[in-house]
Formats: sequence, C-alpha cells, structure tokens
Amino acid sequence: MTPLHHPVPPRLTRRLLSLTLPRDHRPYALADLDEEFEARARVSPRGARSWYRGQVARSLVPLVRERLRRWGRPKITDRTRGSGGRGGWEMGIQGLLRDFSYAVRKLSKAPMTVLVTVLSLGLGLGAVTTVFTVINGVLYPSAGWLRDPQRLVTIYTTEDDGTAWGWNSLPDFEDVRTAGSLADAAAATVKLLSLDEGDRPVQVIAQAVTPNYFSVTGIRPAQGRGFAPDEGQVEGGAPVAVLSHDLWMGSFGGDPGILGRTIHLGGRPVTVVGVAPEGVVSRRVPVRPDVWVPLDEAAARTSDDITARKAREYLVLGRLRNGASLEDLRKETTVMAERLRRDHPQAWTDNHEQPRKFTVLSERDSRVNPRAKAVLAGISVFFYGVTGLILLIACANVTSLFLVRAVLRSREIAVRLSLGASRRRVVRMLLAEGILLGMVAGAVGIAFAGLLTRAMRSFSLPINVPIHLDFTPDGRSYAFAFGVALLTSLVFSLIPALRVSRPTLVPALKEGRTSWGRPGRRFKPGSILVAIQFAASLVLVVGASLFLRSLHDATTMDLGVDPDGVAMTTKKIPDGLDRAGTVQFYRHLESRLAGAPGVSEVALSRSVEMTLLQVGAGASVSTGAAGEPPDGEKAFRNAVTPGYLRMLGIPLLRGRAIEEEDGPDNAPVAVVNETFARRFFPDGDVLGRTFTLTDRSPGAAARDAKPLTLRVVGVTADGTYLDVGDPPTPYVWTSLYQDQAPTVAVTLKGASAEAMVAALRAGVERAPGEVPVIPPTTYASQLSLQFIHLRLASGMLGWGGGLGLFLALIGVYGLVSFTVTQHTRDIAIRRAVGADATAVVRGVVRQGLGLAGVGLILGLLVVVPAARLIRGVLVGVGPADPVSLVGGVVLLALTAALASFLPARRAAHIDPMTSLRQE
Amino acid sequence: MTGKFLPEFELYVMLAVARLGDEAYGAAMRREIEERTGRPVSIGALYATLSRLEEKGLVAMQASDPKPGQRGRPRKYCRLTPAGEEAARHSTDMIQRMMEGVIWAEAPADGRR
Repeated sequence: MTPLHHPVPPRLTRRLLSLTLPRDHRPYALADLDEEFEARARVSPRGARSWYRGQVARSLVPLVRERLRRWGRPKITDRTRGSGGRGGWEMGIQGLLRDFSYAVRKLSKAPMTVLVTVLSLGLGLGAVTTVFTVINGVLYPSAGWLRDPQRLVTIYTTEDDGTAWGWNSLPDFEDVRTAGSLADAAAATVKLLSLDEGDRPVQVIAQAVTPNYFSVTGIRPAQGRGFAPDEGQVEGGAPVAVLSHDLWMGSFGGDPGILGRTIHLGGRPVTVVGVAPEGVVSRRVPVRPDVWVPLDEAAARTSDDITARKAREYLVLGRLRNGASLEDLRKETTVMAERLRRDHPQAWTDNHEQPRKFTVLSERDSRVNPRAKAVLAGISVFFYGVTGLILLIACANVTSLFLVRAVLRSREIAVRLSLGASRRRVVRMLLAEGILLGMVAGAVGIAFAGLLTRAMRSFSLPINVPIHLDFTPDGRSYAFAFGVALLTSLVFSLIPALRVSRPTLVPALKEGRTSWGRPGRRFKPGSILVAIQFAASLVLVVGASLFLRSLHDATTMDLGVDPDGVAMTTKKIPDGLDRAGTVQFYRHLESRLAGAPGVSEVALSRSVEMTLLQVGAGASVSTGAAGEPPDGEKAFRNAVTPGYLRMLGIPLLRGRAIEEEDGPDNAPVAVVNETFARRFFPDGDVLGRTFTLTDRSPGAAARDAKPLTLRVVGVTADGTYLDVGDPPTPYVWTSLYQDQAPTVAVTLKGASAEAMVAALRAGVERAPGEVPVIPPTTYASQLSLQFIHLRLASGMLGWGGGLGLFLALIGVYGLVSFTVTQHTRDIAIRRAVGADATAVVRGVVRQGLGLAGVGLILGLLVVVPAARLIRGVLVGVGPADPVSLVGGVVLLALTAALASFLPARRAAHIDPMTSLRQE
Repeated sequence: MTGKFLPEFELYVMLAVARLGDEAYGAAMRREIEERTGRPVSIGALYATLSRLEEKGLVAMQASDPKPGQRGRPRKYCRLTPAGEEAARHSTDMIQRMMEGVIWAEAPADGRR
C-alpha cells in the first residue's frame, strides 16, 4: 500500500505516456512530470493526480503526430537500430505503417481482387449495418434533449387485458403526482390535428401535454418558451403551441418571426410561443410530434369520474425528488394503487377481475414500450439472420479469394521466409492487406446503408398517419460497421495467412511447385467455404420462395370481399348532430354521391374490413346463457348502411341483410357470420335470437359506448375480415343508423375503382381543417397493405438470395478454375493417354457439383427448422414446402454446374503437349 | 536558416531555453512557458517540439545523471546551438520590425478607423 505522505502518479496513465514518448526522451520526460507532480501533491494529492492525467491527455496528440512525422522521414539512426520485431511499440507502429503502405502498393496491382472484395463485403456489411441502424433506432432511441434523465421515470397502469404497460387516466395521474418521492409529474397524449396553412390543410401530430411538461422533462425550447401553468386550464382563452423544429423549418420556412405568430391549428387560431429543439421524439407513440399544445385538463374531464378514470390515454412522466429512489416511488405507488382499488373498484379492476397496479420504470427502460420490445426483438432476429447470411456468403467468398491469392503468392512468401523474415512478419503483411480492404469495404457498407435507410425514409403508406421514424446511421452504426468489417477481415485474411506461411512451404519452393505444402491434398478450406456459401444461399433462396408463394396465395385467395371497382375514404360527421340528424346526414351524403357519374353503388360504414379502420373493432358478446363468462367472448364488428354487404360481395346465406327499415327508432338488428352463429348459438337456428355487444376497445369508456342488444336477422358466409391468414372469427354487422359512428367510411362502387376515387374526391365535402384518416383510394390498394410484411420479407429475401446466388456462383467459378489451373498437368496427362474432352469436362463439372452438393445437404438440414420459425407469417404454404425446397436445390445445382462448366471447357481445350512441355 | 520563420511554439521553446540558461530542462521549461504565456503546455507537446528542434539542429540536448536533491531523477538539459541562437534572434528581430508603428485599437470590436 502506498503511504499517504508519498503519493504516486496514476500508474496506468503514466504507462500510457511512457508508451507514447519517443524512446530517447522517455525517462527524462517522465522524471520531469514526476517532479512537478510531487510539488503539486504536497498541496493536494488529488489535484496533482488530476493535473497529471490532464498533462498526459494533452500530450498524446502531439507525441503521436511527432511519431508519424518521424516515421515519414526515417533518420539514419532509426535504420541502423535494425528491424524485425525488436523495437517494441515504436518499431511496431513503424512496421505496421510500412505493412500498410506495402499493402496499398500490392493491392493496386490487383484491381479485380480489390473490386470483388470491396463490393461483396461492402454489400454484406451494408445490409447488416442497415438492419443495425434501424433496429438500434427503434429499440434504443436516444433522448439527448432530456435533462438529468436518470431521475425521470415512466408510470404505467395495468391494461384491461392484465398486461402491466398500459397508459394512465387523468384522475389517476392527478393522484399519482402527489407521491412524496416525486418532485413533479407531467402527462401527455397524442392526437392528430389539422394545420391550415398554405393551400391545403395537412395533418400534424400534436402532443397534448400538461403545462409543466417542458419543466419536468427538461426539454428546453430552442426559441421562446414552454407553457405557463395556467395555459392548460383556459377555456376559450388564447390558445398557444410550441412547434417542432421540423415543422418550423418545413411548413413555416424557418420564419425568424415565428414567435407570436398566429397559426390555424385544429380549426382555431393558435399563437406560437416556442420552437422545440431538433429531433425530439414522443414516447406516447414513436413519432416526432409536429407541435405541442397544452392539455386542456378541464375539457378532457367532461365525463363523470368513473368514465374519466377508465379513459387511460396518458403517458405519465415523473421526476424523482432529490434523494428519492425508484424503489421509494414503487412502494408509494403500490400503496396508492391499493387505495384507488378500494375507492374505485370498477375502474381499478381489469377484465380478469384482477386489481390493477401502477408499474414504474426508469425513463431509459421505457423509451420503447415494454410490450413492443419482445415483438421487435423477434423481428430483429429475423432481419439480423437474413443479412447475417448475406454477410456470411460474402465473407466466405472473400476468404476463398484470399486463399487463392495466398497460394498464388506462396513463392513470394517462401522467398521471404527463407530470407529470414519471421512468420509473424509475413502473417502481419498479409493481415494488413485484409484489414485495409475490410476498412474500405466498411466505408462502402456505410454508404450503402445510408442509401438504404434513406430509401426507407421515403417509403410511405397510402394512409394519412405520418409516422416518421428516423433511421439515419449515426456513430453507433459507424462503429458497428467498422467493427464487423475488422472482424470479418481478420477472418478472411488470417486463415490464408496462417496456412500459406507454414514453414513446409520452403521445400515447395525448392521443388518449383506452387501448390499446397502436402502433395496430393485436396483444396480443403476452399471446399468448406463453397459449401458454406451454398448452404447459406439455399436458406435465402428457399426463404424467398416461401414468402413469394405466400404472397401469391394471399393475393389470389378468396378473401370473402370483392374489391373490384370499389374506392373508399373517411368522413367526419359534423359535431352537434343528434341521432336523427346524424341519420339525415348519412342519407344525404349517400344520395349525393349516388348521383355522381359512373357510381353504381354507395354505402357508409363504421369501418371497412381488412383496413386499418378495423383497429379496435373488438367487442364482447353476451347471449345471456347460463354459465358464460361475465365479459363474454370477443367478436369483431362493423356498422353498415343497407347497400354495404352487397357492394363488397359478402354472401348472405339466410335471413336478410341490413335494410332501410333498420332506422334509429326501430329495434337494433344484426347480421352475423356462420362462425358467430356456431360459436354463440350452437344449439339451433340463430335467426331471431338476441345478444348484447359491449365495446371493450381502448378508449371505449371515454367515448361513452353503451352496450347494444341486437336481434339476429341474417347469416353470412365466413370470410376474412381482419388479417389475411386469420382463422374464421365471429363477426357482426349492425345498422349504422342504429349503431352510429362519428367518423364513417364512404365506399363507392362503379366500373372502375380509379373513377370512384375521383368521384369521392369531388363529392365528399370537407369541413375547414378536416383531414381524412384515409384519403380517397381504391379498396384494392388498402387491401395490399395487408401483404406488406410478406412483400417486405420476400423482397428482402429475394434480393438477399439473388446476391447470395451470385456470390456463390463467383465462389464456385473461382475455386474450380483455380483447381483446374493447379491440375493442368494431371489433365494434360489424362488427355495424352486418351481421355476425350467430354470426359474432362464431365470430371470437372462433377467436381463442382460435388462442392455444391455438400453445401446443399448442409443447407437442407438448416432450412427446414429455420422455416418453422416463420411458420406464423406464411400463408398457404408449410415450412417444408416441397416446391420451394426442390426448386431451391435445382436452382443452386444449376448455378454450380454453370460455374464449373466454363473452367471445364477451358481445361478440355488444353493442348497436352504444350502443357507438359511447360511443366 | 535565416530565411525561415519559426512556428510560434518552437520560438517559445527556444526563448525558454535561452531564458533558463543552465537550468533549461523539461519541467522548468514547461513551467516557464506556461507561466509567461498563460497558456497550458503539456509535457508531450514540449518534448515533441524539442525533438523537432533537435533534428533541425537548433537545440542540443545533454542528459545528466541524477544529482543530489533530484530524488534520483535524471534530467536532460538543453542549450541553443549557434544556428538555433541565430534563428531565434532572426525571428524575434522580424517580430520587432513588424511591430514598429503598430497602434492597437482600444477595443477591437469598434476600433475600425
């Protein structure tokens, strides 16, 4: 132990400096620093140590720069000191730099090697880096705009279905913010508002926040201010907003006079009081809010207390009081939840009759909704798997290229070894080439990833929900790409370097041969690499085929709806209409559209099957039968006007469809599908029976949705209503006149869907500031969104498989032509003793197919279990689909045959005499 | 040598050598420059510059064995070579000549005439 009166400089730091100092000055510079350190340590040992560290930190750059300068102009004394691994660090760095400059010269003479390596590795690295960037961006978003984030926490309330990560209600938020271990807490929710600036209103994402949101999170507006405490409560007062950096730059052209300007937001004038810093992302949903508005708590709580407590729509962020820990808060909220459960038993019980709880997570752990994390992790494994295979194929390709290169250079290497170069030196020389290429490939990969992520950003869906996730490669992506590049380049250069520098090569030099050390040995590492390539390519090709066949099945299968000539949009019903007025509005809208040219059918509905409007269409069913669970089983529902079922071609089996007579004053009726009838009325005919439908979707309580008792009047055939590939689900259609909706889908049918889109655009009038959730589009294009994951996966695997196939082709071609060159003499002898050209070709091609065959068997062993993992998303094909498997094998075998045929033909044309004379 | 300008920090190092005379070794020079210029100087920057000056033949360095009172620490003393003295003198002369007649404004922000 160091005595207190004799402090010593920080040891590691001192060692670091010692390594960087030029050898001739080393002891003196260290002694100088020690002297000053000692003088300072007499005053303050701690201060002295920190001074020492500062000295060393600032010394590193000038010292390294001086070394590089010296290396550029070596002095006589340096050279006389001799070389060859003796000089430690100094010689090491000089040797390394020499190795690299040698590698540059050597590689500039082999442009094809460079091109093939950099391109294939670059593509592989680019693919993996893209996946890394996207997944990193989604799973580990940065939040640099938060102040002191380690004191920030997120509070969740148990969801209806019993999962822990649900949002909170406003009354619960007001209770929880009184917790003693919280300094303060803020609530936020997200809504879509229209921004009426310029020629057309656009939809913007607004984050409605309690006025203290900016102070709790520590987000400091780049301009202006956040919200004043009273700005949340003003009803009819002057509304204010904080713009996002992007909205300010985009919609307002970066107007320097933006503060105090009045904009038209959500149909009313709003004063801009601030601009947020760049890049702030909401965590309520993973989007960048365009604008922040104060949450009008009074207006948000218009309904009674129970309804308000059930309206769980708010993200709650808390800031811990100084000295309070996450645990303190957890204890407090547990007690609080118990009290809330006693006071509000109805609101504080979930659907399984279990008490709800608060769950507290640190801000860091809650950047991604914990519920989404598991799903994202699964998806990321798939994408890493696919791109990892591409990289593996590229890596195998480059390794065999380097093996061949090393063998061709074995004479040069043998000369070096026999002249006294150490094996280490030779390996280092070859390694330098690999690392150099790897780094260039890494840079190409990053450029490629940049292109891919940019392409992803511009990818947009035909719906009006502007979710823009940001996938720009950042420092982490660069580090990842270069790290992987370094690892792969070590693999592909170390294996050949170690093999070729074996001392057994010196005798090979004497014999004048340039093949492998041990005679008669097959080119084994190369064969293994080709086998790996073929195995990986088979996995990709079979995967692509499975997804393409799923896509084909999904797009051609009978969905139970007919999108021909159908177009749709959404329309918000004006506020303040009573039930009769709403029906009148519906009827008026229908009759006006029916008069448009070319329109043959018109219908309105709450949602449209298999579109995003179906989200939250679940409701629980109760038939009043004895012994059924209190909440009933779930069914999905839609409310429609009379023409709807006929328009979409949903076949009616028994009874009648929804008719004009099912108006607001008559008894509510329902049409159900066969599965519904079987599930809920298994004992006999369903017509005339009644059941109760209760909306259980999130936010239903806030919408004041009342249970509906319905009489069954008709039964339809089963169809697909939610997602392609779903098993038949119980489904209910009610009358829109009886079961009204504030926003309806408007569907038109005519000879051409495009003409109907035009008719919708012309015929559906919009209130000022109204932006439709789904702008007028064809129903077919909305349906195609259903297959987006299949399209994405088959596209990715298709490209990956194609790339892999191409690389495997190059791999086999390279290896076979190499072995042909190596065995020129054997072939010549065989030809000389009478083998004909066809036999030679057959022999070589057989060799190529043999290489591929091992890989294909390996691939088959892997691909079937791998495909089983994606069974859930496949439509119409099983994981062991024989067409895909046989097709993949045949395709790859053909590739191998083609790749080996070319060198085989060359071999067959060798003139035996010329070749033998050369040897 | 006379035609060349010395970089600023090299000149400081040479002036420190000249000022300290027989006591011109690393730690003393580092302190001297830091105290006089008020600018933090790292030991690494000093030795990197000394190597360069030595290579140009402007300073000569002489290692000495630890003397009593140095707690066994070796020192390397520097002195200016004749060429070094000539170069330093030339540089400072040029600075002095350039300074002649220069009148600084009181406040640089609004001192434009």
